[in-house]
Amino acid sequence: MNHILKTSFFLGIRSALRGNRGISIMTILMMAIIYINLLFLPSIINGAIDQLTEQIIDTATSDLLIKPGENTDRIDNTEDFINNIKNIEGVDAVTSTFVLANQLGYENESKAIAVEAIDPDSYAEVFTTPGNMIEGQFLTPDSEDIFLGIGVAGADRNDIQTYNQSFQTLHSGDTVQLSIGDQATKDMIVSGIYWNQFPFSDNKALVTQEFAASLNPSLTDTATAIYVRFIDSASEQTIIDAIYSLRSDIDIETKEVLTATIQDQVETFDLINNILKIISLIVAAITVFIITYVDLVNKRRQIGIERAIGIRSSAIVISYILKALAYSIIGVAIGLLLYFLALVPYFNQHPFEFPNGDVVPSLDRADIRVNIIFLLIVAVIGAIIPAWRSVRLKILDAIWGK
Amino acid sequence: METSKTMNSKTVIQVKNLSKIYQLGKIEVPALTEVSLDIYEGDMVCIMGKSGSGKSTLLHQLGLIDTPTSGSIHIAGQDVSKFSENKKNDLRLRKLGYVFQEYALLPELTALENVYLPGLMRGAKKSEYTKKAHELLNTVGLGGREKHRPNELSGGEQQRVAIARSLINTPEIIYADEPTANLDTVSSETIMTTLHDLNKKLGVTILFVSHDPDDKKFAKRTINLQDGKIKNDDK
Repeated sequence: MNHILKTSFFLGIRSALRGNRGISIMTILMMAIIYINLLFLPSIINGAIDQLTEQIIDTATSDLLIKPGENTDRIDNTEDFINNIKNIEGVDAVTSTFVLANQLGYENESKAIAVEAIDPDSYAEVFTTPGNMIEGQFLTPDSEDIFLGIGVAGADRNDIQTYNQSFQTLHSGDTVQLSIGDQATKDMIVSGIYWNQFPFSDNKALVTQEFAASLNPSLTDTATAIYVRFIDSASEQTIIDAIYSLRSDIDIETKEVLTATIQDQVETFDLINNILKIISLIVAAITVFIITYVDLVNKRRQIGIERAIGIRSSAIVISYILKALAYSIIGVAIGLLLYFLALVPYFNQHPFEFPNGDVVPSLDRADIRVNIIFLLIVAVIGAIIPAWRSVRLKILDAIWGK
Repeated sequence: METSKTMNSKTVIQVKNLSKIYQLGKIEVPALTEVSLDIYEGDMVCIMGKSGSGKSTLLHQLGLIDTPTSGSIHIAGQDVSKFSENKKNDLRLRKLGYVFQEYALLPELTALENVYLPGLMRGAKKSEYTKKAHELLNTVGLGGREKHRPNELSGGEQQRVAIARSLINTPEIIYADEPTANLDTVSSETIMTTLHDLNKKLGVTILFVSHDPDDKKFAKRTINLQDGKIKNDDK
């Protein structure tokens, strides 16, 4: 077996190095392009999924959402509870909100809008919303203003998806009417407008908890939701267990549950991703097949001679497999270099503009490895079929080029 | 002319009732009909005959690169008709050498590599087969041309490389199918002298096909074929 492999290696390497260089270079470049194709589109789709997941966590759900338990609609004694959660190892930031009202008016129009009361300082530690302002300024703890999402204000940005559902012309400094029950309203000045580029979190209105408590003292030290962020290395389950040990009259939702709303999109992306991968792999197999087939047709006589002088058919087939593997490995190496040294830096500087924001390529190492393995497998299959067919010819037919 | 070995010599090839029929569409074309012959160790046999007489077909059957329609071939006492492809392959590699009409070198290999390739396949040590390949190229007068590729060699030189290649695994029998067909007179003489010397000095059994009556002088025995049958066997 060893000498068969040695002979295969000898024939394969000589053929690759001394055969038609143009064909060798073209094959390698084809494999490089196919590999880049295998990496690139999935990396954009992964990037879009990552961006969407990151956005939903950064602007709407955080890592953990603590909600009131089954028989209650609010969490009380939140200040102590939050302080205790902050002391749990791995917890990075905690903030609470409660829904103050559900109606907001501007000029002669009124809309159902969730108005949430927040603590501006801790809110900014948990969510990136305060950093996504396009007008005005964020709330301060003693502010009596209101902070609106672009989906509520519109801000004359008719290029934005949610413009038609918004107040459209509302800007920072304008006054809105907050409905606080029993037909009563409170005029509030818009302190600023944010745009998270994520419709789900862009249709909120935020006021401070201090101001909300001044309108309705019963809301003091209560929350309808507590949001928790933790550090990357933290164990989610350990933190959940620690929170439940603090009190049990609550429900906790993890980010997996929270991001379930985008699962349909993720599954669609994955489906597209897999279809594109299969197409790329079929193209790779066909490329190797055609190149090997053409090579073998041109070398039919040579193969006949090799067999006539005693070279085993298996050695000849393996030599073509090794050649295809060598082309694929060099192609993969060139593909990886181009991908990481050219495409990734370029698209990090010039990201794709998706409706939810800028998307940059994102790949994990497992994807890279799996794609290499798949490409090598299809290269072997692409080479083995024509090579095997060639050595099944009668020796004389091969020598005579029949 | 030297005489062939007597019946006391060891039989290296025994052919019995060998027939080969080619199927051309629905038509059957007999190329060999009931050929029987014995070849002895150290023989140098010239197979002659007109075009289409079956001489190359006979060599192909004996060289195991084609399968006869009927009959049996024994090489070194073994009935090769029943051999698997791999076993035939091993026999070709270890005991038989084949020199084709049109040089038949591998263009991507140098002269040296062409010669030692069967040695590599046999599993010999690299030092062993490269040394022997150098020696064989010297023997056929191509010392110093080891690194030349086939397209850098003349027809006669390529044929001598092919002869050197056929000898790398020290075969018992060499088949040469019209080895001088495409060569000029001088090169032809060199090739035939080379084969003759190999037979004489190394005792290798050689069967060569030729249509040139002058080549008879290199043979110890001449077999004339006509219409796929042995017309006469000049032992």
